[in-house]
Amino acid sequence: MAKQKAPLAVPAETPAPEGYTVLARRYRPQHFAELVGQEHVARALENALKSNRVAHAYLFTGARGVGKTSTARILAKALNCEHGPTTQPCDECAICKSIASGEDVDVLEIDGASNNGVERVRELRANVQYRPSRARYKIYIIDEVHMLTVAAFNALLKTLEEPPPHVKFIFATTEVQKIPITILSRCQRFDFAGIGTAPIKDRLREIVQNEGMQADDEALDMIARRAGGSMRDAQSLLDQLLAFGSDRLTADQVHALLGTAGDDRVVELATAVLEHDAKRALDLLAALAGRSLQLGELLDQLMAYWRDLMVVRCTGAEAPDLSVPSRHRESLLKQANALGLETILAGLDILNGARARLRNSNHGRLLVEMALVRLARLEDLIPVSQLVQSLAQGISAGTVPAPSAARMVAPPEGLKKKLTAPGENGTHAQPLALTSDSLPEVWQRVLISVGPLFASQLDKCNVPAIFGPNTLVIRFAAGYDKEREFCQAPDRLKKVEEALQKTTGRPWTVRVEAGGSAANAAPTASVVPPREAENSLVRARRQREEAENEPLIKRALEVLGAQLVRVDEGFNTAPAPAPVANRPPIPAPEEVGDGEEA
Amino acid sequence: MSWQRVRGHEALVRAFQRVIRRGRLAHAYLFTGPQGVGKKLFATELAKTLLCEVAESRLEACDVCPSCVQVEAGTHPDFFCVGRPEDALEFPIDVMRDLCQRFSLKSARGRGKVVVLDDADDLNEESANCFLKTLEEPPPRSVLILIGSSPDRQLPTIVSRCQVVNFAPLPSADVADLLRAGGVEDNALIELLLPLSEGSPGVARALSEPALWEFRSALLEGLTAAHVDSVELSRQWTRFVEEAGKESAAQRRRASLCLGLLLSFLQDALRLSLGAAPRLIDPLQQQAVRALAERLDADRILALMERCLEADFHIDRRVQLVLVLEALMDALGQRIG
Repeated sequence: MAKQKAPLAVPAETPAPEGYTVLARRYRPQHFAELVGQEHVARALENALKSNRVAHAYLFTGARGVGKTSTARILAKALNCEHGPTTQPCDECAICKSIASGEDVDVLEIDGASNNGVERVRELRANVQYRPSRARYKIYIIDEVHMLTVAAFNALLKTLEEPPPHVKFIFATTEVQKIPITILSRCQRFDFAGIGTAPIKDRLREIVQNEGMQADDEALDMIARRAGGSMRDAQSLLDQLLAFGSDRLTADQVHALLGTAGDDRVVELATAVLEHDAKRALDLLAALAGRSLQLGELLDQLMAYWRDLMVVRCTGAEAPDLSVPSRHRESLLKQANALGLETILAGLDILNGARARLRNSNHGRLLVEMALVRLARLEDLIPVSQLVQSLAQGISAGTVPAPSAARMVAPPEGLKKKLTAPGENGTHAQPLALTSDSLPEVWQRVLISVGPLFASQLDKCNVPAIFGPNTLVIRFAAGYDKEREFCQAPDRLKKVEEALQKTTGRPWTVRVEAGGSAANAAPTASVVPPREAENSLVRARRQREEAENEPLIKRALEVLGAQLVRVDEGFNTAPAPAPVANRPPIPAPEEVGDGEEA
Repeated sequence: MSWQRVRGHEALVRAFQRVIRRGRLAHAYLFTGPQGVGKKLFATELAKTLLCEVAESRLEACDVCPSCVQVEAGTHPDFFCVGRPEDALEFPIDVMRDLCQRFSLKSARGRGKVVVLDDADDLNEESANCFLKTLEEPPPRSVLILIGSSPDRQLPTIVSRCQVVNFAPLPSADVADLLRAGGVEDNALIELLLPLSEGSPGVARALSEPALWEFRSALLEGLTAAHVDSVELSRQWTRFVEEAGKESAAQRRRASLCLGLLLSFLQDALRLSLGAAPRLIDPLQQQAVRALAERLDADRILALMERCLEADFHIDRRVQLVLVLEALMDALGQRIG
């Protein structure tokens, strides 16, 4: 079958002439007991060996560097050791030694990624029938098995189900989701867990001692945390630090090597952003970028900070497992409490988006700058549900709990003044006869009684004119088609009529017309579309009606006073698009989504 | 001697010399850092040092022994330097298989083998995976050096097997020296290039083409004019890009250089609209930046940058250039004008 792996260097302590073997290879576990963090796997395999119930096919999965290949080799040794099968291979016999160095004739370690074709598997099938040359079993270890092609997997199925008694298969992969279900069902699967920070750190300390070096506790802690549950990551990093660094390993060296910013600088940057000081944030970033800073690392650090904010906001200051050093806890708590949870989550979204795009971008620095500016300009948000609730309860928008949110929900300044001033006289003011003189004041009262959302639309008209007995005409200038359409709806007209009656004590009829302000111009072309255009718009109009009748949208129209701005081509009544609230038309299409902030 | 060719990475040179002296040279390194800061040069120098046959100068290549000469000439039997072929989008798996195959043979001159794998960013899933076993346990006394822009662009399984060595941007003085050595004499241009290159002589050299700056002037004037004529601008841009030659790789490179200039312009406008000092000192750009910052607020500028980044992604992904540029200019024109 496929090429056997190239012979390995036997662990050698002598440096230069023989070449150096990295820590990750020299400190590969050789016994079940040495497997760190995989006790559940070790116990299961040991029990299988003891009770003579070793299956013919195993699948080892888990993240990189958690011990899959090492376990496979240990199992192979345990099965084939001259004194075995045993849970404690002797490590002295010829077979154990050759397996440990990966060159045993009966243990075929195959690189699944380079030998992934069906012809390789056919070769393997042809060789499976021959008995092992000197050991008990012929063991196939296929690493990176997820890279096999579909044809190769399928060619393997029959052999994998019923191999000859002298054959064992061990598969190892990081991506188990790529393995066909038919393979999975024929294997005993073992999931290798990520290794905790503490066991990694203990192991690192052992290694440092063994190598005759010294290391600060904080430095080892950083390496272990940074390894993200992978022992090999930690060992590679330690190896590098031992090689590049000075005689004693310190936290500063780890920062320098990783290109991470010191914790204090990250906190400083985060504080600038949280104080909405985009300028200072950019300056800080520029200062950091000068010294070989890894942008990805910086984003990771910022994300960790925002995560801390989130955790602290949810659980309080005693939250365990925070990445911010304890001396910054107090300011963290203060910052978290000043922010809404929604705002923190939105911030995390921004950081996460930038992090994901950094991978494929040539302009990393720019992406980070943009993320910082966005974060700094992030307004305090309040959840939509809360907003809807407060509207439904009829609380005036200005009294929504979050004080900083008032800015976003309050009606425009001018309107607000107009609304509150006459309100001081009480809403049950004396009925006022509607004449051309009293018209402005009456109109103000009408605006108040129809409520702020409707009023903001109604107020866009020119001051209405009395038109014949008991008829009021509201004219909108040509640019205000949307507002005109909004007010023209019969139920809204009725609302105005009711308000008028309340104010003046007499019934009035209200009509809405389009027309220029000064010249009382006739409806312009833009108001009434030409006939041909109308024909082509029939479909769009029907869609629009459908959309308006959709319960969710209907409710939004009623409760929020929203207005349908646009119905997309493929609109289908099931998933309703967010109705866009009463805002002037927005030029950039992608901004339309956030309409509910009215 | 030979290390002197490597500029601005003296600390790393010393670090590697220390590593060799301690006998702790690992078998796999991932060199990361911005484009054009000299990663490949460094890797080649390191390879030469490791393969050099004059035993006394173990920390520095002698430049005269047969081995050094062969590395320099690219004919050393134990030195492999592979990269993505110019016309390929990704690193083909055949190249990798071939490399792993040749790599598994014994060293011809007896001093081990060194592989420098350029463009590691472009390894696809297959080629990266088929490399994993070799990367983890190569034959004794061999060294693999991967060159990429960032560990983020590699599979976690690759990074986990390597020691990551980060290359910092060069100090401005070094970049300026290298530019002068490379034949750029115009001091004003050098002043202009330094902040844009972000410490990378390679980038600075690519940007030192005068035609590029002429086009930039036209672009900035067009974008800050009272009425943005996006059709005309995209036509100019396309014409300029096509002048780079018939090969699409060269055209794309030029298009993305222009886009980089445009982005740095927007970056400055953003800084200005936020109250921070813009970085470029070019009067033309200053004027244009001010004009744009007056017209648009920070959110709008962010949206423009977003659009440019999208176009950059498309250029990278080999979308037809004319389409990318027309769509970009149209979008920018609409948003500015």
